[in-house]
Amino acid sequence: MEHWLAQVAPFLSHNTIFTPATLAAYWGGMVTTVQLVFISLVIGIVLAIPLAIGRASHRVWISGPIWFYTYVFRGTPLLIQLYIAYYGFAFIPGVQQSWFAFFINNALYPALLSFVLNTGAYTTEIFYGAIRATPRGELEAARAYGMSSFTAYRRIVLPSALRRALPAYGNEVIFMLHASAIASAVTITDMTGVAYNVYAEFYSPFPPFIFVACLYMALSFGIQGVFRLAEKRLLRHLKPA
Amino acid sequence: MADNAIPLVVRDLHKSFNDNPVLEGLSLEAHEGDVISLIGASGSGKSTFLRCMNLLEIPNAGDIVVHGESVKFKTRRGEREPADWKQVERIRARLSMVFQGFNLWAHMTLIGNVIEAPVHVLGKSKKEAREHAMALLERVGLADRADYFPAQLSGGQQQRGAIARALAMDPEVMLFDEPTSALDPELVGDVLKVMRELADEGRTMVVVTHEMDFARDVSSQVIYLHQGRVEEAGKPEDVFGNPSSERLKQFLGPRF
Repeated sequence: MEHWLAQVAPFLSHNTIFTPATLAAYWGGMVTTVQLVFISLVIGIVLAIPLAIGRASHRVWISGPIWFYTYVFRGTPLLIQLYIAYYGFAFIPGVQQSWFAFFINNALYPALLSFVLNTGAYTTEIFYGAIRATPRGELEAARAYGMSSFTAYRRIVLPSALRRALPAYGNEVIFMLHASAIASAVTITDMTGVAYNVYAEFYSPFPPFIFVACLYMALSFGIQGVFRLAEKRLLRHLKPA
Repeated sequence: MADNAIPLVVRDLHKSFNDNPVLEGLSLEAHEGDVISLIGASGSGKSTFLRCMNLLEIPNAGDIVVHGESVKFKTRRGEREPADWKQVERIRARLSMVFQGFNLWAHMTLIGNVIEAPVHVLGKSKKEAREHAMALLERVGLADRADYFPAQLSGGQQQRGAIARALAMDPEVMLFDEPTSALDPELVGDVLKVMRELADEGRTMVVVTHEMDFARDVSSQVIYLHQGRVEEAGKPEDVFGNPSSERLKQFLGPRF
């Protein structure tokens, strides 16, 4: 044991992870990642609920465009969507002089836009699937008891569908957390960005990348825990006594 | 008797699915306290007939009149449909239905199911609805199961809960769509017992059923349907005791 510690000591003494400066940088990166992902998810879900309802409509002029939106955003890589938002908009002539300039001058906005549209598309499909899986009889009972379509949606279809969507949505949240790593490709110093900077500075790949991998893992673990609790509470009606 | 004193009048109902006629001119009058049993083989149209009464299926022709209020129809693109869905919702709320598959709302507790429509359709206060609901659950023998979810209840308990949900609407007519067909034989009795009690206290009921004993003992009128038409109708003692139709004799078998 002593022998082993003596061998490891030199590595620990000039490691690049546990210096105060890098720790602060990692913390900053984590805050950026969490903010970016959290805001994207919140806006995405607000977008996805009405879109999922529209996607379930039997009127093609409502469901068609929504289908097209989810098809495009689920059918193309998030990195491409991010590049288009980040590099593409900046190329529109005159954009620098317009009110829209704020959007291209800070990489966070294009990143947010692409993340929101991407998670919005996936979440729409998740919720849509859950809405379609509403037991026919439950909807029929709602109608037979005199509920309007609006009341039936508000009281029966959505509460039951959103509960059913919980496990799939939990996956989407974790997926989004990991996908957010590509924000570092457009100058954002999220967790991955910080790890890259530390690597570039010290030319030492393993410690920073493995360390942020652990941070991602810890965050995923936390998210899983939250969803497990929520499922336990909100899906208890599916468990036999 | 004037129409507006009769809880439910159905006149000359026609319904077809994709040009297949299912109902061909069915009529029915449910007076206060009547228990009308609809019997017949599968595919005879009895469930469709019942589902037309609260507009879960839209009849292609015919009238539905609830206490004198006639359901208004219009024709759009060659299809007949209710002219006023608000009216349909109002009328549905007066005719509670009990389904073959119970159709309790799975994400709500039993008591949540019972108070749901009184609160969110009739606009009753939660407190009032809860008190009424507890009394009803007591009646159907499920007071101790109020906070259970449907999945935690047996089929018979679910169906008795569904009856409590129907009663919570103070319905003018109760529609039963084969309420015991999905139940294990040993659970049928509990549900039928509750239905007998409802009949005894003078509830107006229309019941699609395969329970011939129930139809014979409890109904005031029995209607035997065959291929979307009334083959025979009358008092249960006549229909069961002295059937005139050959088909009905065959349907009833040697027991009656």
